[in-house]
Amino acid sequence: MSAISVLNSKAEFARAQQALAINITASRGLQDVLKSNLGPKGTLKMLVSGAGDIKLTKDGCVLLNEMQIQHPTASLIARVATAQDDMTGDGTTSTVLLIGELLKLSEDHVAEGLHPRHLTEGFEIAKEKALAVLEQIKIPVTPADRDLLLSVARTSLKTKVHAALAELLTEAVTDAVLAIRQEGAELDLNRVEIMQMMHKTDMDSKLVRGLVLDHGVRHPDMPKRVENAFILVANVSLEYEKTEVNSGFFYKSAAEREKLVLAEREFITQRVQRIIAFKESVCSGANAGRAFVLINQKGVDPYSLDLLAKAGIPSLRRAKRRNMERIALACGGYAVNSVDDLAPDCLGEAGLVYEYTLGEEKYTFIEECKRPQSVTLLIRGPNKYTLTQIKDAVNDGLKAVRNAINDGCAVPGAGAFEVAASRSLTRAAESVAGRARLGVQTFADALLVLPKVLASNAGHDSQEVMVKLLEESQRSGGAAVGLDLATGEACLPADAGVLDNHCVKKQIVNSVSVIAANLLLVDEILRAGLSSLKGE
Amino acid sequence: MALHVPRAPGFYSMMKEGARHYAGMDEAVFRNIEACCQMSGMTSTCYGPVGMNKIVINHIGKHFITKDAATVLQELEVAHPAAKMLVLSSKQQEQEAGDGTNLCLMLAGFLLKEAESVLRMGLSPTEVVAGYEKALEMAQKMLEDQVVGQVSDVRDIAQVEPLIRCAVMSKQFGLHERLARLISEACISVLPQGGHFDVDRVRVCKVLGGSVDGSRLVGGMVFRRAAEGDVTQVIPESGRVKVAVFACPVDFLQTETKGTVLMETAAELANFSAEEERIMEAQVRSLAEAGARVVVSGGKVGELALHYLNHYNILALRVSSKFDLRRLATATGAIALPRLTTPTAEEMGSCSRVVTQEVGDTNVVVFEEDNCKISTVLLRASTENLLDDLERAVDDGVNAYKALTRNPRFVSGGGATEAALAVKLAAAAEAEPGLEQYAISRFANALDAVVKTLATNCCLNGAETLSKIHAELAAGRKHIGIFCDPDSGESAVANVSERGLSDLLLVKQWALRLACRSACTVLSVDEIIMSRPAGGPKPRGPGGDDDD
Repeated sequence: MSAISVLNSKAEFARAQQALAINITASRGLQDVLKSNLGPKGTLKMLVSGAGDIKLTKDGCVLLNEMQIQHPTASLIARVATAQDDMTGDGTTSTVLLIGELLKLSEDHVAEGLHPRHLTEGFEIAKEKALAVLEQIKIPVTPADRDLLLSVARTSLKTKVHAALAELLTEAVTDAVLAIRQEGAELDLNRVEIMQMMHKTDMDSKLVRGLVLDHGVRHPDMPKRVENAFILVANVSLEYEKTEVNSGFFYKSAAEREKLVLAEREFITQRVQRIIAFKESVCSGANAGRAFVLINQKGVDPYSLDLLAKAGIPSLRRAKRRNMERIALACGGYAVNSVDDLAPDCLGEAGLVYEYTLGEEKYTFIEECKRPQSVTLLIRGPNKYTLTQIKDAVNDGLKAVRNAINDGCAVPGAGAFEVAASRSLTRAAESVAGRARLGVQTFADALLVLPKVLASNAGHDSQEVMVKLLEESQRSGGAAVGLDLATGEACLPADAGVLDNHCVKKQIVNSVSVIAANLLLVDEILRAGLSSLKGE
Repeated sequence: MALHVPRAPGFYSMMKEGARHYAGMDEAVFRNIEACCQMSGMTSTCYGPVGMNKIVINHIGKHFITKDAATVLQELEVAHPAAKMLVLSSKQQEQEAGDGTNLCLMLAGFLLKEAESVLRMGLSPTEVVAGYEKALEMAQKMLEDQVVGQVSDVRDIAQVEPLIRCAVMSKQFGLHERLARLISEACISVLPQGGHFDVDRVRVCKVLGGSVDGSRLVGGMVFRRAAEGDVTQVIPESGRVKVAVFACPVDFLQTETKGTVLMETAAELANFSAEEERIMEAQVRSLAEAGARVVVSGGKVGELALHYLNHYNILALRVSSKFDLRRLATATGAIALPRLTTPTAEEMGSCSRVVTQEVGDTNVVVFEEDNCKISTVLLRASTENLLDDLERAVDDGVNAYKALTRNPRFVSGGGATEAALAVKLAAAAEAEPGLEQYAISRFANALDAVVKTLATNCCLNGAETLSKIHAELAAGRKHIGIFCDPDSGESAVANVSERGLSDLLLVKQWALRLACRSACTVLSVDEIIMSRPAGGPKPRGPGGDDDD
């Protein structure tokens, strides 16, 4: 009996061996679920939400988030994976697999009477050593080296979507990041807008060097396609606004009322007139005949639209806040907050602005910008689940390229790091004194789970492949040897263009050793208090 | 979140109560295949010109009698996740090609059915998927070789009509001649010079009563409501009828801010009404002087306004849909005005005739115009159900025309293309070295199954007919399919190309692509995790329209 049950009869608890068993079974359970997702040959999982929406995914993080996990240990691991995804955008499945494997292998040692503390000390030593190996095998990457960046993006994307689509997205994602990159400034991935259009097939997704807005011009008589246009980005209300105080009109005759109707709109009409006058002034002289597009963050009401339509100004209303910044980055210029601030240098320019109608949805494309620092990845797909799947993949791909640029290096993938680290740890274990050695050895063995699962997902014999890899690594004198999934033979991933992010691996090694240690060191799980408010 | 200390080991204890988890071949893959096959088996009896109708009663108790697979599935609200993927693909087929939804669904069903047998044989789903994708690639190439011809001029009714007829035939057998004629004429008349064809330009107006033969084509717009005032006919002695279109109510201007009339004396009260009358009369008179004979209002028409409109012999019509108002503005060349003002010459629209007609017991206002940008098919039929079904047939026909303007090439219909593809694919499979061979030959089988279903639906023996077609094809004859004689209702194996049965290439391309893609997706799912269904009413499709 735990002491807590004396203090609170409703408390739930699990102690000592039982607590450890709960942790281990939970982490192994998650490992089993996610195992089949790892790598380019992993299978898809179908998630059905409470509302019946379908989601297809191979992404470990998406899966963990959607699964609505209720198990305390499992949700702890899921959170680590989520943190991994937030930080790096990749490696979630690997994290879960490694934690599971570490606990699985530790179980035997603990069952034989080893105190978990010794194991965790070993993990700590192993972590340092593994990070040192990571530094040794990394490959420098510069933003100018597009081919290497492509390899990094491809490696990440191939694990999320099918090969042909991955190839297509690789180019798009890499070019998107390169387009928004500015020397000396930190990369801001928010500058890449991801727009979804539900039509055609996934292979029609592409990179648009400009912006795509998911709404169209609001008046049937406005031009739907203009070329060589000035873009005015404004945050000015062009619709009738009620006064803040309670107000009313008193009139004596219908004629007075007619006048009041006009007068109350006068204020807004003047604003519109100012914009129209501004257009006339900039589109004159050398710029005569050029088009002028208004993109407004606030509303534009039918009367104002009518005036603008007559002046030939295509106007978009209620643009999203984030797009306001993006438009300024893509086309140049800046957003104005008042019609008093209208000046020619606030205008952006775009070579082509056109509206695209898809059923009832309208999209506005702003293309052919001179030096776009904000671009759009246009995702197409025949249905919603394809779109979400691609969107998740694209996000991860973008992060992969960003990580590579930020790290300034990449790591050979296809299990190369794990094999190299495992060999080096096995050697290092011999020089570790005391029972911590067992911890180091456990870590070394656990790392091999990734190449093993990669192999078995691709339909190869995992044991055979693992031995082959270790042999090949030994023979080549410590070169980064990885697995060729097509043949099941050893290969050099760096030459084959399979590159992982440095920070992903670093994060995995760090978080896995910490969480595994935490879980092993738990000797009691407690839940005090009532199990339900109704008082069962 | 109240997490409990777990008791039972295993995966189930990790998830929320009520969640379900299916994994592996038996639980996930085969169950999915079964569900999909059952669904596609259900709609397969609707396939072809003499397929059967289905009565569907949807969630609000509305009856549908139709053999349009898209409608059946939409109203059924399929809940099974895998089957739903097939439904989504057939929806996509409708959006991309406008037709061939049933073909897409059936083919996906047969592909899955065939896959099941190879899976049981021991192939892994990934191998089957790879094979199917290869087969799809081959089939798309072979499809190009099956092209019979192309429409050289999309404005030539003699070329267009046979294709539309085939598209309509599968929906309304027997009425297809009449409908195809109407649709072809309607579509050709609104095709802009050098522009894209817009399906929105062909409108359908359903009026209950009469017979389908009473359906006719109107160049212009037809509104199913009576004119507001006493004026019902505007037939100009010479020239054209001028139309003023207002997006606002035709009434006094109202301030947005709350207004109060401030009266101090009885005289002011009397003056107020008098002045209102004077203003309105001035307004309507200026309209009349500008030549407007018809006023179309987006909102209500005020009583006083109506009085003066009657007085000046102006026809007033209220159009409550904003989109209809825009269409009318397009049709007449008017600009919809946001407030009641006198339109200038450019803002004023015109058409050749505006009349109120009594069709059956319904009053309709017809805006007629030669060479109009919008045309309306006025459908007549004896029941609401039939009208709805006719409307769907017209929609399909119009979409077929749209597909035609995008890709004028066509292949032979009546199952001939599928049969030919099946034979070629089967031959190609033999030459394939890897395990993909099995999947490719199954793809061919699935195509054969489509032909077989068509034969069965045409009251023929499926297996016998298929073998006959194969024999003919082996003898080197081409375009061998099933021809169903509209006069006698008898079907036979024949050269369908000579009988004028053809389908659009675009439709077949998309159907193959989407069917294969959805079947592959279903196959590549090996695990399903379902949350407990959320409580509360089921979310309906897109909610109310936004401010547009």
